[in-house]
This record gives sequence, structure tokens and C-alpha cells, in this order.
Amino acid sequence: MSHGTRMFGGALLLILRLATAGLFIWAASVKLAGPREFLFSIKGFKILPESHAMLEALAFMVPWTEMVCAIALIVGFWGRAAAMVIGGMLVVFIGAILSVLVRGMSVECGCFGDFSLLCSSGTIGWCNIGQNILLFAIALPVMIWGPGLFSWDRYAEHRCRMARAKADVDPAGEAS
Amino acid sequence: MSWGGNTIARALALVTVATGVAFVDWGVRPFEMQLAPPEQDEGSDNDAATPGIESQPGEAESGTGQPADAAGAFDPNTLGTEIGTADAYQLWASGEATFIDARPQHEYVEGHIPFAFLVPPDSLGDGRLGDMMEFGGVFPDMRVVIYCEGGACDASHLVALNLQDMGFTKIHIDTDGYPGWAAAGYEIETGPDQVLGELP
Repeated sequence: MSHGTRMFGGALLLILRLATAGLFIWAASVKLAGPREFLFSIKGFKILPESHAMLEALAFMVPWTEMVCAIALIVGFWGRAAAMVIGGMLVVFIGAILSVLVRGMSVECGCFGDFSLLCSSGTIGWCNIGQNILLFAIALPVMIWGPGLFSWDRYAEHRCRMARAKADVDPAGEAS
Repeated sequence: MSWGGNTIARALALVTVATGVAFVDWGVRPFEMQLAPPEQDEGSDNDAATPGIESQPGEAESGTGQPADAAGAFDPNTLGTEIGTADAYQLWASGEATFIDARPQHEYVEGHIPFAFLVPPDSLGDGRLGDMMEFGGVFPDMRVVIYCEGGACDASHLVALNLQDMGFTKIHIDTDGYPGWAAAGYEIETGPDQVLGELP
């Protein structure tokens, strides 16, 4: 692979990584600003037992997981792992929305607050499935190829490679 | 591409960190999920009133459309947090309570309890309850009834919890909701909220 192709790929991954991070920081901020509202959104799906303790815990855990992974993506720290967690959450969200639609229920999304990415911010519909598939598609390249340019992972890998190359050239540290 | 156990272990580590932060956050700012029973009006001498989660037995049955206390004077102090259509009607007819409709705007426009304010849960972040207090002349010492679609609808409960946070102490939820009111044949009104206006 040529240097130019690698740079282009890295830049593309950087854009996808930052786009994913930005969207999830927004989503997490909305949920963390109103954990009770988000709790009622989760409750509305009627998938989990009506245990307030469990729902309260989830109302904090879901947005904080989004936030931690989004920050990791911005820095490019453990980029693949962060994208993988976000991808996993999106799969769970898609499953939950599907179950609501199959049961013919009317549920508020609680996804991005009043901000509408593609779908209206009201009741959940097939548009939300499409939206989450699109978000998954944006995160997928980072899951597969890593965080791209300007990332901690790339810097760490570079340092590791340099150290290995130095060790190959000077295995016993004779030069020093 | 190195995508294997290492990535999964890192993913689990990120989730663990997030869970830790989440529990700290939960500990720092817990939120109330239970509605307190409605306080009695000052000067009330009704010792028999026992506010609780449900209306007391012998009072109005939900959805009957019959007055709560057909034999005597209606006393709102006897009502619990959750009330039915008949109690809601009594409160409305006697002017004892302010009504809040927690359903989506399009349902409100199609029909609502007359004089009810439109405050769906997704408007809470926009300060709609504050507007209701400022422009609607509703104060925390007033009695309020919140309703939505009835049945398993949670919107009333969420709005009620927010009102409780704002200091309201006489909160009732009409668990029969608008369908119960409409089915009982009580007066309804259509169109947008005349006081607070339409939602953005």
C-alpha cells in the first residue's frame, strides 16, 4: 500500500472516528442532563423488569458508556475497542427498537433529545432503525481498521515499532 | 489488522471504567422516583382523609364517570395520588385543580380537558413548567392533576416528578387519562394551548 493511500485511509478513519465521537458525546450529554427522562424512555420499551434500581443504574450506565467510548475515540485511545462497544450498543438499540415496532407500541426515543439527526425527535419508528444502521456503518471502519490519523493508538504503535527496530539493530545494547 | 482478544479485553475495560463513573455519578446526584402523597389543604379538618398511592376504597371507581362523593360535599383532601375519571371530573368541575396534559401535542390539539396546559415530557427541558407557573399563574401550593393516555402511560408520572422537584405538594395523576374522560362524555376542548402556545 502506497504512502498516499495509507494517508487517505487514515484521514478517512479520523473523520469517521470524530463523527462517531461527536454524535455520541451529544447523545450522552442529553441523557446525562436528564437521567430521569432517559429512565422513563428505557422503561417505555418494556423490555426489562420494572425494577427501579436496575433502570436507574442503566440510566447512568448507558450514557456514561457512550461518553467514555466517545472520549476514547476522540483521543484515538483503544479506538477499535471503543468503536466496538459503540457498535455493540447500536446493535442492542436496533434490537430494542425492532421489538417495540413489532409489538406496535408507541415509545419516545430518548436518543438525541430535541436534536434530530435524521428522524423526528418524537415517537420511535423505522427511521430510527435506519439511523442506527447508518451510525453503525460509520463506526464499522474504525472497528475494523482502527482509529486512523492523529490517534494515541497510532502513536503508541509507532513508538513500539521504533523500539523494536532499535532492538533489532542493537540487540545487546552495545552502542550504549 | 489485529482484532481479537486484545480488542475485546480493552472493550470490557472501557465498559468497566464507564460503569465505575456511572455509579459515582448515580451516588452524587440521585433522583427521586417516588411521588409523595398529596398534602392536605391548610385548614382542612378532615381527619378521615388518608392520602396514599390509591384513592381509598368506597370512593370513586376509575372510569365510572360518577362523582367521587355523590352523597356529600366533595373533599379533595380525601384523594390519593392516583385518581380516576370521576375524581378528576370533580376537581375540574369545582375548580379545585389545575390540569396538565402530558400527551404529545397532536393528541392535545385533537382533544383535551378544557383549560388543561400542554406539558409533554419532551418539553420539560425547555422550561415549559416554568412558563406554566409564570404565564399560567400556577403556583406550587395549588392542586394539580396530570393525565396522559391512561393505562400504562408514564408521561404523567414523569411530569409529576418534575413538579414535585419544583415544590408542588398536591399532585394527582388521573390514571384513566384522556380516554377515560372522553369515554365518560365530559366536556372536551380542541386546538392548541391558548396560554403557553404551541411547542417548537
